[in-house]
Amino acid sequence: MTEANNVKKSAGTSSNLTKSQKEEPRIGVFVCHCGHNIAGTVDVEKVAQEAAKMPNVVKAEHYMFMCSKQGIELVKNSIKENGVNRTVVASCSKTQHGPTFAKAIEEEGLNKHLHFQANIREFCSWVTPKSKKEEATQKAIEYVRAAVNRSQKLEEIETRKLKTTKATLVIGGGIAGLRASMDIANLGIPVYLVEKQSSIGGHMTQLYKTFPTNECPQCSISPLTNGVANHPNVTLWTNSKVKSVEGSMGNFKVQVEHKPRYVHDNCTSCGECAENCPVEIPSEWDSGMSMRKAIYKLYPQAIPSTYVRDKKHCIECKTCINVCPVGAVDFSMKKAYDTIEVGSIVVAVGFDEYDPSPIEPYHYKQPGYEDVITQLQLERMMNPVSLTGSMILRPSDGKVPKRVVMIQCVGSRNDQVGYEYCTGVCCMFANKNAQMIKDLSPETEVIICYIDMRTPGLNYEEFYKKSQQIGVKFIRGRPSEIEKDPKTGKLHVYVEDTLSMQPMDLETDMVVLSAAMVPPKGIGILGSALHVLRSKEGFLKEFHIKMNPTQSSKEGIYLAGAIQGPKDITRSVAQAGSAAALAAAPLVRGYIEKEMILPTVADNCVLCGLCVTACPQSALKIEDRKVAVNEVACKACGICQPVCPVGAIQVINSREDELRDEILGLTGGSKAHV
Amino acid sequence: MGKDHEFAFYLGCIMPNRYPQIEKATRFVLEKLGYKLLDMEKAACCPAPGVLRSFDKVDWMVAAARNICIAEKLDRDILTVCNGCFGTLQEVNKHLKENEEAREQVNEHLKKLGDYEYKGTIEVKHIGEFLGADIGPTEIQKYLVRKVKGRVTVHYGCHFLKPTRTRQVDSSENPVILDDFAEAIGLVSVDFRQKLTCCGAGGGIKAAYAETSMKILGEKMKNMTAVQPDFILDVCPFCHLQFETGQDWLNKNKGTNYDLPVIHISQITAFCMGMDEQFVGLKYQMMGKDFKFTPVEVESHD
Amino acid sequence: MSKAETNSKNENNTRRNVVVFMCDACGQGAAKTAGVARMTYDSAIRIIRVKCSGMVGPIQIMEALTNGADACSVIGCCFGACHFRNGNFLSMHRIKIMKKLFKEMGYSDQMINHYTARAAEGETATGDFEDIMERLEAAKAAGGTFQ
Repeated sequence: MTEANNVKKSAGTSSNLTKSQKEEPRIGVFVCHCGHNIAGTVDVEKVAQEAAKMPNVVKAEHYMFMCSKQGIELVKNSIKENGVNRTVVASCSKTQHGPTFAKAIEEEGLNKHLHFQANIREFCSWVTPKSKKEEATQKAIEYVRAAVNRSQKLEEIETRKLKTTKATLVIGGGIAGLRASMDIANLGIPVYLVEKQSSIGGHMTQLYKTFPTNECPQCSISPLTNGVANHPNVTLWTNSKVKSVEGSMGNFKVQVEHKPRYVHDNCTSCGECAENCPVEIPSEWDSGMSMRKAIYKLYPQAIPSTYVRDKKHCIECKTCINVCPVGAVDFSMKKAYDTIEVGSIVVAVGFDEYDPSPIEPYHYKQPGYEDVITQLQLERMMNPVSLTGSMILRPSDGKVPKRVVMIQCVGSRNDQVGYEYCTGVCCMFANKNAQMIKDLSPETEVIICYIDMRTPGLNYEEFYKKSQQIGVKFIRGRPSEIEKDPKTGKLHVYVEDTLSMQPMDLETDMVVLSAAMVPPKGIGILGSALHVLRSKEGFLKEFHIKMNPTQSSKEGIYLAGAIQGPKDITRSVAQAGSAAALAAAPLVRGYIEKEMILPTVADNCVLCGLCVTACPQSALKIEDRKVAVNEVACKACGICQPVCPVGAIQVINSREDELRDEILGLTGGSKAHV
Repeated sequence: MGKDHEFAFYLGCIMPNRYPQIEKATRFVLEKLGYKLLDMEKAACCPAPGVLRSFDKVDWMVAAARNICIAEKLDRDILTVCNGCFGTLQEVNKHLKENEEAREQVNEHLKKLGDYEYKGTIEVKHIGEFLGADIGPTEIQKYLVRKVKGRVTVHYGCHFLKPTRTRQVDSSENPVILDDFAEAIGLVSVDFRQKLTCCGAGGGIKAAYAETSMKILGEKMKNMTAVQPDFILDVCPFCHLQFETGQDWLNKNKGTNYDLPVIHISQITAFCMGMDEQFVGLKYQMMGKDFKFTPVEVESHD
Repeated sequence: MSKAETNSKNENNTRRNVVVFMCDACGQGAAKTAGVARMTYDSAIRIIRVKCSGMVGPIQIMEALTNGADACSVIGCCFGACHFRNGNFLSMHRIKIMKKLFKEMGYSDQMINHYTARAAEGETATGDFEDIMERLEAAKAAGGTFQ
């Protein structure tokens, strides 16, 4: 569905009056006792009596439980027998039973938007003390009068079926993005998988082993990476970023930017270019634990299995161009763009490892402190093709450390520097890495300094016990400082063992910091492009922490994995499945239902453009000297209404004159201007 | 940085009573830099940031505010050469500037003491920041007559840098301001273990828990002497006193053999700016009585 | 009609009439949560639901104040949480400007206010209501209201 089909020029002249505007309103008012909940404080009979006197009210009743079958029958009967064409139910909240009565009147042939709910329970009887019955009753009468006033001008609203574009965009090719892509593609829905790095796989491929089974993550993920890359329904774009997103659920238009690879697709991955490249740089993917060339493959099992050129560090000697047997290297390649249309988006851009540099007492990355590393660096060191050949060695002198101290909660659980939250994964991966060190280097002593040991759920506590059994030591205390003795060159970790209440000075050869999982760099830009809310820590905010942790703040955009908050692989995969289901639902069905509550623009519009600027959904634009409304994007928020200097743009069923009616109903003031 | 090149010179207690050479050196340095030091008549104890503050915060603020008022009347910023005085005066000055309620409360009390009203018009400066940042290691070169060769262990102390949010002088975990200045006058600032810990004097420890005070100092001396410095550089007369009397106590009671000269930044800077070595006054101190600096002549700058 | 008219016009009757616009998300959500928790507040408060606090303009506020309301406030989502990006900011700024205008005209600027609330916390609504009533009484005492 293209944008043109969904944008309609606004109407609003008198010749287009709907049926509801032409006929006289015949209002039915129903006041609910709700047992004692309302009737205990509000004189519901009196309210019904007063309601009967209000203009255009042809039926006013009170009943014990309006939401019961009999109560609903009352409403329906009034339509059938009394010709009621507008209903007001004064009971609980609009959210609770508004839809109940709306559906009931729809079953009798009335448009469901002709029902107005007055809340005389949460907003009245429940919040007024029983000693003030008169005040409560008065207030209830005013709420009903406001509702009756509103009822007079309600218009029918169409519920339209909008076709959805059968395609999904998945941003991020890590474990969560891959899982979501696979699940969606398997439903027969085309998937665009956009990954910013030159290969998919994400952080999981950087790990040596995964807890609690200590399996190899490359082996676990390989069927998925290959499966996704070869899936007929998946278009894989690596080295790419999402630049802009327009539209709303069912109909998004996305611009994707492709960074130039400088290597064409006929690359056979022979590696001649990298072998002959004279430039060596510390590998970012290897967390600095190895070197890569200026033309390189991200890692041996990278998918796609092609090389990529790092323009920034390339010295343009062109050796790679000369040695490539198939002539795949091409320095002239440029940035490219693609604009795609999708019906839903899954954001799975993962996390970054916290850089502990701001924690000054730990001296991370400072000269002389090369032996203070993070867990991700340790993972890369333990990997079989690392510079150390899987041996645990001190980066400063290449010697085997006799003791390694791990420090937990680096950048987490901290209200002075870093973040307040608990990452929730570090206790497990520290235990795993401690077990790995014992496995690869049995002579090395491992001590973990922790605040709490958080290993919840099946198999995790058992995993922690295993660490204890194989001799990993634990000290409950948060180290205050890592200091290098200028004379001996040894590292000293100062920590108080809070269980024995002893300050300790741990002399050690190496320190591994369990750094927090933090929002990935660039999430601010992506979040703004998607118009989704972020949490105060910077992750993307879920719609509801309990009832909907997968949907973002925007319909049609779903979150999977660590981008919604730090979590391990298990939970990331589970959430990815949830995101896939939610993302696929409107596409499989083929349409979404939208209540077409829209603004109308009257002839006195002066084309000032203020409404266009104010609209948060960018649903308005000036076209052919008129304000055009994107009927799909508009959310009827009404922000355009007060900004109009002449009052030309008004949202149906909450126009300014309608709001005025509601105000007058509450205050009882006269309709004439003061 | 000192209106019209003048400061209200806050003397404190220990310096005028125990180390007049630090005062002389300070006056020498400021004069050579083109600054005038005005006397603060009727100034009294700051009062101490550890003991008095914990007994009664309001009284502490009032007493400090009274001292600040004297400088406000002179319409000049305060210069102090002591961590403790800086700790009190800078913190009270900042707090009263930002907190209207506290200011009103203090002014109510000040009225009873005489014609005093805190207005929040001046700043409080520590010699360490003045020399280390305001003048700075580059600018000071113009005034140096000689540099000094030697290894020095720099002691920052506590109140000079902390709390960082209030002082905003330098990082409290990884400071460089005094080390940079030391190197600017020719010294090598040697790294040593637990460099940033307290000397053990302040907070009432020296008075109430003498043994603990000496334990803390003992650790410091052990770490300092392990790297064989020529002398200790400090920026506070109380730390100065602690290092001096402490080494003596340790020698007498713990069988150590310490004789590390203790030099305040004013003393060494004055010497480098041309003050006669006899006025550095080491022979009047307890440690390093026979210590002589190793000067390196510097080309004169005009 | 008549009873309500005496409500506002009768000088002996101190019963106040306050119109509060609350957004569909956090605003009325907080009021509803307060209701469910049976938290009581001054019966002068009358709530009008709007989709977004950004939908409330100076006209609506003035219409309330000139037709019998003693005070008028808008309650929206917390800043950063507006479901429509920045409707709550627009409302807050509008009311800020209106306050300035009221003051310049010699009226109290405490008759109108913008607040934020959180749907899961009822006290963020009742707290706002209390504040509205307090400010209204202060405004009345200073003689700066419209009625």
